[in-house]
Amino acid sequence: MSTAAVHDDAAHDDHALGGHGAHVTATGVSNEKLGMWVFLGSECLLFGALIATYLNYRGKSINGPYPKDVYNIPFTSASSFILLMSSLTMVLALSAVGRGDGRRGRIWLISTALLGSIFIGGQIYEFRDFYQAKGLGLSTNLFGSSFYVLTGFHGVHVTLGILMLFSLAFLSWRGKITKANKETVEIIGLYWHFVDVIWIVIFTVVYLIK
Amino acid sequence: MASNRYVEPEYHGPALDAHDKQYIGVGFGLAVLTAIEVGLYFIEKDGGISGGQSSWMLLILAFVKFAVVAGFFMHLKLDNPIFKRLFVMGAILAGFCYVAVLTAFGVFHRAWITWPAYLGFAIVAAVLGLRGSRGVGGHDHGHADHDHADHDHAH
Repeated sequence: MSTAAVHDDAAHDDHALGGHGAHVTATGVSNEKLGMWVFLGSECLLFGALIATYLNYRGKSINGPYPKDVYNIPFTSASSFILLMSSLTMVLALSAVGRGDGRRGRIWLISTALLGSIFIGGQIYEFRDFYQAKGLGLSTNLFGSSFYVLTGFHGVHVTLGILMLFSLAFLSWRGKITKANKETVEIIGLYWHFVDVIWIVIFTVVYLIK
Repeated sequence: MASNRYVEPEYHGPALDAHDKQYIGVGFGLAVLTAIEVGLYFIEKDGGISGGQSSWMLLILAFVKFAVVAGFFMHLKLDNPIFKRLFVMGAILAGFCYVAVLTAFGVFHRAWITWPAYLGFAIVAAVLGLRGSRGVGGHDHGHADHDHADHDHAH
């Protein structure tokens, strides 16, 4: 077997055991990571329900403003791109922590949190613009209710992720996040990537498809 | 008085390894797909393609982006298959369930969507049931732990 293959197998086994390979579990995988995946599965159902509600009420508003009156596609495309790139910085943070490069790990973690903050800033700007300039409130029409609830729930998830990322960076600075417990970074990373994949769906279904 | 401040061990390895370069390549690919999506939106707006064609292409692109992020960034491609089963089955179940609900509410306006949705729901439920009856993660990479646990149990 080649050296590269041995390295890949070792990395694979390390992943399967959650990075530190310390305890044996009934399923053969880390309980914390399994718990996060189960949580993400339940989140699929939550966001699925919210997206289905948006689709159900789509085009049924009897008074405006309508989606075509309020959406600013170039602006939302830029913020979607920023959130997508935050997934890249997150995976680079995990990789750096796994190599034992704590300083770069923190830089990537803070970069991820800052990119997420820019996305949330964009969402706040968008909501303010929709509400003040275009007159779309939560109870204005069916479109407003379903749009704000769906994107607002997503925004709350991103905000919680940002808080977790800043906490991770702080813990890393205090020496609490090292190569030995990189699974903590991986679990927060899974949550962050999930809010990104949900936005991929929301961006397409809510903003791009007419 | 001695300081108890944490002193980080120095790291002398490379700033980016081979996996990182692969992640950057994947990130670039995702950026290109996003640009194509936005381009399709404006092509449809200018009347270059029909709304139906554009919708299908956008849905396929979104699915590809979803799969790439889940596979590479969330490590589903390399990680233990139990995670893939949990997430994929959950997502498929949710998809079929909500297609059925939306069809029932008349969103799709086509009755033929309902029956494939219900059939798909039943098939996924049956597959999940069969896998569950064989035991969780029977051939997973954590099999050594299973074997060990079973061995201890037998004794």
